[in-house]
Amino acid sequence: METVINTPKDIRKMFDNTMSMRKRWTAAVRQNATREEMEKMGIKQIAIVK
Amino acid sequence: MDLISLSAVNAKSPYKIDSDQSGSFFFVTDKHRPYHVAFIEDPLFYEHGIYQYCLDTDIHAEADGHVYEVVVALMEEFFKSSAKGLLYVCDSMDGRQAARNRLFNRWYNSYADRNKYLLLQREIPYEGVLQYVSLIVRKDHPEVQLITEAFDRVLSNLEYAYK
Repeated sequence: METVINTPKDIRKMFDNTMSMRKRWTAAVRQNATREEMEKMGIKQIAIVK
Repeated sequence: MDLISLSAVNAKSPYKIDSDQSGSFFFVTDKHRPYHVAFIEDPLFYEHGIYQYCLDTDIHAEADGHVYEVVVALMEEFFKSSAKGLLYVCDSMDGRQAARNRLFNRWYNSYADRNKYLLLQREIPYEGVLQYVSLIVRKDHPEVQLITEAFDRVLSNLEYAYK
């Protein structure tokens, strides 16, 4: 279940993704993106049920 | 699938919470300040079930004390889902990440049920800017040890990688 990260380059790349994820989400939500558009950008949100 | 019930959140929240077309949570405060909140799956240190907490608002609008209650309502329902942990990286776009970290800690320390959770925190010197990274996980989660060990190992490696 755990993510295996072997090199400093790998781990920096993973943290780059973490750091860019919120920026991408913020830009997308301000542009009224749809959930499908978010997912195409690699942003997978927790599901919401009514 | 990890999911949150809107009706359960609304039963606790001082503001009416809805979902927007992006699949994020949305609410407006009494001061007409709009907020979007999301939980985004983030595989930084664990393959599945860890979500990054994201919040967006109009920073020029007046602040509102009830927002804390909304955040608590959302987080309590988040931890009732099958999600495994919540990752929070303080927004550093405007250089106010240290102030956000202090506010986060103040809110967390005032939360009555905080003893049900573990809070792990690290400071990562990322591209010349100190980033405040927090993980919240339920103490009674069956994978709590694996999750916290993975967080410690990966964040320690990150600290080393950016030195």
